[in-house]
Amino acid sequence: MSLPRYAAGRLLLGLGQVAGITTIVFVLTEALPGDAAVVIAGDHPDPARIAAIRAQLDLDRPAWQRYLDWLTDLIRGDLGVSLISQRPIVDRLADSAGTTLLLAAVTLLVLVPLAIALGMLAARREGGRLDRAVSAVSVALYAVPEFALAILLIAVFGVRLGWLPPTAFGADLLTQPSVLVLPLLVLLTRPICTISRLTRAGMLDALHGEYVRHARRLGITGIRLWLRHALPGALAPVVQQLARTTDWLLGGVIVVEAVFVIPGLGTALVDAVSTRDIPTVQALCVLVAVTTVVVNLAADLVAFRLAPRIGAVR
Amino acid sequence: MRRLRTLTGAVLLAVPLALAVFGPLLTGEPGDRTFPFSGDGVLGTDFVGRDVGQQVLLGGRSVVVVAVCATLLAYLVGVPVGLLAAATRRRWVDELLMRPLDLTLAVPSLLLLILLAATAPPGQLTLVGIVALIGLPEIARITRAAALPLAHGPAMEAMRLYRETWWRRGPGYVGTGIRRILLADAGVRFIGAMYLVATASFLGIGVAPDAADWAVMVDRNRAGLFLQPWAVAVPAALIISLAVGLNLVTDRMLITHSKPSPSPPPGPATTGDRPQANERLLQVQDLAAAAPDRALVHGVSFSLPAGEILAVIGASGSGKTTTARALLGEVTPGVTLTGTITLAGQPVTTATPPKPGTVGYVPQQPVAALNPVRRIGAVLHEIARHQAPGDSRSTHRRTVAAVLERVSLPVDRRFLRRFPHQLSGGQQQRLVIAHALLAHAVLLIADEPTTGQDALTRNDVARELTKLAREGIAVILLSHDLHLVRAVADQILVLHRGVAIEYGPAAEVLAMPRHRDTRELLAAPPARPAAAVREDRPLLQVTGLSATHRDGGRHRDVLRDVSLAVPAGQCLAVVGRSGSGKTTLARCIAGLHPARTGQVTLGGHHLAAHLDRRQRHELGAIQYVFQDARASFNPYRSILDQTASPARRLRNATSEQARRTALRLLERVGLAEHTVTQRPDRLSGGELHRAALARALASEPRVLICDETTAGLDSVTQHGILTLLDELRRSLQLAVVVISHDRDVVAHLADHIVVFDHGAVVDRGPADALLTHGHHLLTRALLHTDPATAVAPSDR
Repeated sequence: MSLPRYAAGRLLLGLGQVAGITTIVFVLTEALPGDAAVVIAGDHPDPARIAAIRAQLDLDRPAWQRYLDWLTDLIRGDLGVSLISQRPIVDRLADSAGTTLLLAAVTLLVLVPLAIALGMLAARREGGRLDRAVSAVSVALYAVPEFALAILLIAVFGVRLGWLPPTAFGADLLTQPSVLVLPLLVLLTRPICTISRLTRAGMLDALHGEYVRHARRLGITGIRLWLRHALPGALAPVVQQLARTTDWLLGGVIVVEAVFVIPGLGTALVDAVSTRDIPTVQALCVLVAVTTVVVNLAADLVAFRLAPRIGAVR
Repeated sequence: MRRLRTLTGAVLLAVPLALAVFGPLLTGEPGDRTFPFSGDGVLGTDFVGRDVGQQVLLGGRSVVVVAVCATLLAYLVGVPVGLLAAATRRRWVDELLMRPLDLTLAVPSLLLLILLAATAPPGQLTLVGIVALIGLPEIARITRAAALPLAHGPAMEAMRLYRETWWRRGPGYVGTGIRRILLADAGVRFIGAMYLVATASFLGIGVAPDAADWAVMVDRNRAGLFLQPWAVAVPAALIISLAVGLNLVTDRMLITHSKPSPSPPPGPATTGDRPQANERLLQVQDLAAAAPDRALVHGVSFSLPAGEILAVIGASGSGKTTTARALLGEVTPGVTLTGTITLAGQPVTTATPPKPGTVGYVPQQPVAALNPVRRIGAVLHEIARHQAPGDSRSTHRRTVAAVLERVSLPVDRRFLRRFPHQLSGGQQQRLVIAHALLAHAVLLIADEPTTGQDALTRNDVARELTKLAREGIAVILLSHDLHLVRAVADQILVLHRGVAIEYGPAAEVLAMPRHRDTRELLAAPPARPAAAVREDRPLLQVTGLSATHRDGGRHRDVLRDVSLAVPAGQCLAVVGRSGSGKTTLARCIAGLHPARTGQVTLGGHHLAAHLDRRQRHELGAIQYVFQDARASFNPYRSILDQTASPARRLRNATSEQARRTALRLLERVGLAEHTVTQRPDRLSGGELHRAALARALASEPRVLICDETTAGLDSVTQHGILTLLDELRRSLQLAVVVISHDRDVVAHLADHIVVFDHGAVVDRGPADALLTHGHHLLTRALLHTDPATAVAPSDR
């Protein structure tokens, strides 16, 4: 299968996913038990407020009409108005998106070279001291909940030792980069484990593979053999795992922002959920879902280029 | 090291688990509340003044219980869904089940958790449901992926052919097969569930805000981190300890112990023949290779001048590949080499392998030597550049083009931009040779270059190797393909259990083999006994059969209007290139592949197209012997049991009768009782082929279909099976349909031959006529012995 054909098929699938996800999001938020307006109004139902919510959400119209309206608005880039602040949601998201993007970008920038380098170093001497150390740590830290790790790091480095600021409260991330150190450490833990392990396994596979031996017999050795012959074959699963990592990052960011008091999208989402600001929750979910789909799409295309055979088995 | 890791994990896991399980039993009534964040009690007080020590004892249970329940629930739903998706033969059911699950996989799990929790009523039950829902898609996918090859593989088809009970096919075969994969994965799923539960509790989802829960404690008490760090640090540390411990312990479960590859049997110690020449390109003297417990190759000596072809022949496991790899200075770890190898005046040992590039090696699977992710042109240019670093780009391009022409490959840009998997097997082989030529190889080693290939490819290989030798390259050919050896070899070395039992010029060895084992290897298949009883009313008749394959979304014709007939006691051979539709025809007759149009009749009686709609006695009358005997057996039950099943299921025999029938048949194919009471993995390939024959005979069939039954076996084993098959046919009056591309097999068994090309019959006739003077070009190419005179018709 050629790359353009694979890309076209994959793009269609991505569009289908986005369509499916918007439906799920709408149905779930619609599925609030009882009268949605009453539930949203919360513990102190005030008839006036219920009426206002009812009017704003158009609850008197049938669900499918509202769904269509919501979809058309989405396509035009209009995410609606927040129930709480009565401001357009787009403005609210634009305020916090920068912070989250910065956090995610810095994490990825550190993660990719570090994890791949660690994996390659570990593969250099299979069963060596470095290999065993890297693999023990990466196994141990695989699925440790971020919040617990974050709290422990804060307790040790922020409170006990006082080396680093315990939270980012009120700090500007760009002028005061030290506030980013602890959040970064927490966000890196999980993906660095999986990616370095995958790189190591892929490199070992490739190095034991007949085609690397073949290249060696032809006189290709050293760094060239590693980078041009062994690494490309090892990278395809790594790239796909990176896409999954971006999912985790989005999840991890929610927790990390909550713990370190960083005003990003995660905080916005938690706030919106706790205040039952349904339009904001819907908008955020769609945003995150679309990002995920796009990232996975890109990763699949890169992986296809790296390992053209996967197109054949899908 | 690994032990230590698991032990550490177990200890780390034990502490929080013990607290979670027994903690609530140890605490008394909650004490009075005092001031928030004070130092009272062992660990101080929390944000509302409760004793932290007591809260820690109480707070573990909810995380563990919710995670366990959620994992169990996810498996309870996910495994049946995955199994159903894998088992169904209707595509839309599979799509309907799996597509929505794929969709949820595309959303980050924490986001899904928040979204679901925001709409559902809070509470632990909700949390269990949500976490289970998030874990479910992955479990369903893994189950489906593990069960899919089992549910549609040869073993399952074999069981369907004798209508094995649902219980043995489903839980007995598929269930056992996926159990290990699911168990190894369960730990990871549980960790994932725990992670979600703890994080959700921390974010205040699904639990009461003042619940006694470690995660909630971390969240609520972190405001007082400066005043009373214990209230936060202890529960956080417990959660981490739980996660790390689980990680370390489950990692143990994920390790799959790779079996050591089966090594050739030990060889007796004798010395090989002495070589006579001296000024030779390659000199091998007393080469021996020994694994720690036995000798693999012993006292092998030979020499080879440039421009000659040495064929190394021998049964599988005779040390051919070990010898060849020694010439490359390579050994399997743990094997030691002795003896001297001299290549172009330079000694070759494991420490000093031959100068890079001088020896080219073409593995049995040439694609393995090609980097799967790089375009073939890029690699060719890289090798050219490496050989002559100073030259210009255009010089390299010319060098590459010249080499590609030498091996008859295209040189255009479109070809060079392909990936190895886009090439045919023959092209891949020639590409590997091109690599060796670019690197100026003086010796080329080709490992079984024609295994599994049809006669046409074999001719190409023969031409290619002869051409290389004429250009002055020494070639070593490892093969058990005697036609190829006869066609090209200048010298022959015969290996038997690691010892050179014969060595000399090809003409001499072929004409007068001295050693008994050589004679056996070189022997033509045993002569066919006189023609069987003729009975001209056809037993099996196929009329106007057409069939299609689904290829992506489209239907591709594989069989076009095929008609043929086989009388009882006779053998019909179906020959043709790979991909010409031979196997599909066989599967249509057996009912494994539904025909689109056309009829299969048995003794004048119409058979349903699908085997599930055939009567028991009809199923029993037509049996199928699969190409891959090993894959057609259920690995979890004994051979005897599986041979007895057809008799029990299709002929209503009691278990005792079925067992006796099976034992009798197995004995008849030469398998002793103590062998067949074992599971299939303890039997050799040849034994399994015999067992497969016995199993097919257990339902007393009238038609036996054999699909490439001897492909990939060495000639001694192959002859044994052919003789057996012929004898069975005559004594049981079987109509046999043999699918093969091996001339020897066809010549030995067939009464009639049909030649297939692109799904249609292009030639047919009595075996004697077609074997000696076929008219169709393809018939001649496939069936005539001399590769040099056979000219293959072009492929389209």
